[in-house]
Amino acid sequence: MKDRNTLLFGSVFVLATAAIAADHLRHVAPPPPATAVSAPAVSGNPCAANPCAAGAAVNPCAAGAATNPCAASAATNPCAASAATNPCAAGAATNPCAANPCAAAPAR
Amino acid sequence: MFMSLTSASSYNPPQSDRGTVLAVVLAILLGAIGLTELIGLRQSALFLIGGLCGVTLYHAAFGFTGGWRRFVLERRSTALRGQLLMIAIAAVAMIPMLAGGTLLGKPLVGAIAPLGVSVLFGAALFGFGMQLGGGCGSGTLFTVGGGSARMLVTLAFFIAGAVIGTAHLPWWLELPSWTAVSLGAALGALPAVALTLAGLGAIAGLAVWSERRRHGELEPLFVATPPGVARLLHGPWPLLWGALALALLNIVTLAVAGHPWSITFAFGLWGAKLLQAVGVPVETWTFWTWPGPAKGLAQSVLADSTSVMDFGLILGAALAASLAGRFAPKAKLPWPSLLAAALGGLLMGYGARLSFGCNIGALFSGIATGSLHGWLWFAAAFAGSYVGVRLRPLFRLD
Repeated sequence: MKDRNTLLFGSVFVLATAAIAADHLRHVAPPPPATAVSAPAVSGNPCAANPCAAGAAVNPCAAGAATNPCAASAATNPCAASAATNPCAAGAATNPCAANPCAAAPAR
Repeated sequence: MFMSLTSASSYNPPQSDRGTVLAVVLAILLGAIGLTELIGLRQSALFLIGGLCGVTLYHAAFGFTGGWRRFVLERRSTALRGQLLMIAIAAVAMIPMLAGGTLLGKPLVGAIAPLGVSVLFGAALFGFGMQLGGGCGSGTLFTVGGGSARMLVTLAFFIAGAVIGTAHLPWWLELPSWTAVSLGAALGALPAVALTLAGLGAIAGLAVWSERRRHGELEPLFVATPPGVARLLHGPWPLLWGALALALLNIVTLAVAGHPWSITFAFGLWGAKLLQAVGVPVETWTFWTWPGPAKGLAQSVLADSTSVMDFGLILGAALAASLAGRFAPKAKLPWPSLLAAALGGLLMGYGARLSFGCNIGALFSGIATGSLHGWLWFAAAFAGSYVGVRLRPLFRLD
């Protein structure tokens, strides 16, 4: 009877521990989606979720896309060399092209 | 008259359950390390404080239920006086601590709750239930830790009752109720301590008078027992050691957690989390939308300070029981006894929720932090307990 009781409590302990672990895993903050996670060097880089990847479902940079923001001739190409306030200039303080949404293979 | 002596040479340490001791020590170590890693050092400290509470409760056999029953049936007041002394010691430290507002920059809050119909009814229900269940909040946990199969039933129904209580509490709070009264805030720390000690002293005096009237003499509370490492490890401890240690541990809990020791909030939380896990939308219940409960429900159970103290308490009691060689004792479990365990657990869980705690959270911590509701809780729970004592024979419990 004593052994049976010890076994009963061992089982209850294991079940309770499993329930606690399951609850903890369910409630700890879920890690950010893998696509938004990036190495420190590219922290905040929207290209971590590269919308221009070849196989992306909604690639805004596709060759024939109507609203390709990176097309060479696009009026609003923020990275056009001639743009008066080209934020992508080599020495720009806050180069948004570090997060170039149209880079072929954005850094991760 | 208040003192008796026991001989050191008469103490023979019991044979420990070595396997169980090793397993429990390992569980406590892993628990403390895991909590430090997953949540933080503070949570780990609370887990260990809970463990010490468990060891103390078990080795000193410090229970409210048996002590109150013994007073009702035999007019022996030793346990009752021990409880009053414990509350008094804690009050002397805790009321002034709370008057300071913070400790090392950390805000402190007492177990302050409103007085009203819900406390009156809930505490009476709790007192009644604890005589059927065979233990109060702390008593249930430390006997479960000690390996009592019957108390597992009580605990399961305690959790069920607590979660039902969370569903009904908003309705109960609509019944007549008065604002929460903190003696420390209303009178100042020193008058509040003096008034609290006077109240506890008056009850102790009444208990002494009653015992002397029945027996002509008084059982001593202060039993001089040479400490020794063997007795500390294996027990049993004199009641006085238990009272002193528990008072100290509650003071430490207030300093570390920022709130005094409590037990039963966790039971409602565990029940709610279980229901949530099977798809019941508990988070929409009014109680669980209130900030504190909502936070508890939304975070890991390991982040809840009451829960980790309860886990520690169970393991601490298991360690004490195995050191004493009494873990998971043989027990007959007749159906009437199991029925009483279930009914008692259900009533205690429901009653604790309605009355803002159990013997620890409402009575001990309530009075020791100057909350007037603790006194109402004491009176109502004792009345309920009296009825419960009288009904125990129906369940073949005596």
